[in-house]
Amino acid sequence: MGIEKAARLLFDAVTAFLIAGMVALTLLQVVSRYMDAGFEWTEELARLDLIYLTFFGAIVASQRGEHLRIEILVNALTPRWRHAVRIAVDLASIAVLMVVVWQGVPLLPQFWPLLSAALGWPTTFFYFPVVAGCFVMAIYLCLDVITLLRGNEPHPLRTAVGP
Amino acid sequence: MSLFLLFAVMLACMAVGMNIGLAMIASSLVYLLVHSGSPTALPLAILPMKMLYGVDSFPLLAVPLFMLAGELMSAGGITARIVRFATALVGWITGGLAHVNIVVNMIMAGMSGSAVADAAATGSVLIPAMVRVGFPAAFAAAVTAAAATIGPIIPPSIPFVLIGSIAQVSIGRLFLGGAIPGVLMGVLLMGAAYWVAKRRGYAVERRATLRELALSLWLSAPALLMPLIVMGGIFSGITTPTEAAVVAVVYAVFLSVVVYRQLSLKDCYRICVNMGSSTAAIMLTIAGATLLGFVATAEQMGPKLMHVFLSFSDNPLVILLIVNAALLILGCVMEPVPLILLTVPIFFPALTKIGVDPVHLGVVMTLTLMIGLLNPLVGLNLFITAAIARVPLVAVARESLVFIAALIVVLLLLTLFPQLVLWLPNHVMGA
Repeated sequence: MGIEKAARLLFDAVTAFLIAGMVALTLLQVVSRYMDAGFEWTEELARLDLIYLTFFGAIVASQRGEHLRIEILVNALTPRWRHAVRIAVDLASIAVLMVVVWQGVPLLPQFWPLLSAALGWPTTFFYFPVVAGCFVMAIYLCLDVITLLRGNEPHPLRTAVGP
Repeated sequence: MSLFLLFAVMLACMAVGMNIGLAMIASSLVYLLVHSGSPTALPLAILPMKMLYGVDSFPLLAVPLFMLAGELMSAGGITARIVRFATALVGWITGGLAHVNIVVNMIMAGMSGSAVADAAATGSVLIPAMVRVGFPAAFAAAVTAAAATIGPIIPPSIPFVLIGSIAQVSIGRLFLGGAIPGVLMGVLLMGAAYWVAKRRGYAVERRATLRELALSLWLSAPALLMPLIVMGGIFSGITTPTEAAVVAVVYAVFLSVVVYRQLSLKDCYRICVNMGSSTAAIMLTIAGATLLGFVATAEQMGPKLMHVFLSFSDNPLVILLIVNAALLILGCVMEPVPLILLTVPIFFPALTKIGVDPVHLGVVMTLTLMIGLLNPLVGLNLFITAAIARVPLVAVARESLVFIAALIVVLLLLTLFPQLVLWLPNHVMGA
């Protein structure tokens, strides 16, 4: 099994786990309120779950090319131009993501002493997925650029099915 | 000038096909770099901070949960049962299965809250059925695409959750505000289908006996209970919209896996991964929109935009009509969710200050964006149903015109008569 396939299976599994966890936590929140326990930590942990889902799920969306984008103008270009534009856009996206990572890394130790309200966990845990997710997305975009430079299409541009 | 730079960079990045969330982050970054010399400059560290701030929200959890519930329902064989009930109910009216299609979408709207998911779910069952009894495939595709726009108007609705959490409007009120407009859409679409069917002499279904109607109602009852559970929970105050969404997920899993036995655990895993990916695509855009909104607010965009609006007219209705027109045009190049994320932080503060009710604005905006799903350039609903019907997009677009006209009539009615939206939420939840 290649490293790329292993990584894909791993991020798929993480995403599915986060969705399942979200269902479990929100459900626990409803049930606990009716048993007069009213856990505060379920609400916070569910929000943390959504943050991880946002940035780790975004890695899956990157692998599949499912991010929201406007294709209409790019698709009107000739294949050669489209290819060139895609490389340029990917490089610009990598630059933006790396700025987020560069600005986000110093926040991690900075927020360690600041504890979250309900769980009492370091708020670093909330910032970690932002930094890690953007970093891995940048890696996948680098792989896409390499594929594009070799003259191949990494994946067709398509839109995620949303509401 | 600075605002112009911010939006020019963003639109340029979007036009060349950059991920929309990243385009918003990129333009904010360019803005911050250009202004880094000024004494009031914002630090670059607000990039990760505001991105996190935007997605750290409990109400937004309802988005993945409702998407998951809708997907589980449509994969779990629920649609077919609802189709049988709707056929017994309205299949005998001139227009036959076209009415069935619209009614099925109104019922499905009560559970999934996603127009595109509804178009795929009902289209795969009803388009082949309509073609079999003699409807032209393009007409069948057009009805399905138009009927699916009801989904996000009748509660629950993912666009309403997004608008509510971004603009700090009560999601429960938005949900209630969509009920009457959604029924109105259904009625007018059925009117349009009746008119076309009468002129062209389309097939009707045999009128069901009372016994058959009762039987189909009994068989689809577990599925029909879903919207009642979700809405009842929210409006009685027992659950928040997010909690109602999780109840919907659990109920959908129970129906699809235990009662109807149409979903395996493997299917559930695949659906979880797919929904995770779709959710992340939306959430990353929210992260970018939050950052952009923060930068735009620092640039005093709200007051400036209000000034532009007031230079046209000081009548809220006129301004609302202008916004509708602008959104209809924007809807031709962009899909609803990114448009909501882009325009809500811009339009809401300015328009509500002028005197437009936020619930009214939210419902009207969503309907406008749903009509955008029927345009032949980026309209996802048309793409999906044309693909299912295996007919050219242009043919479907031509058949959709009469339905688009019907929906624009609804839009004008809602814009001119705010009470159509506001009466129910004000009546139930107090003014």
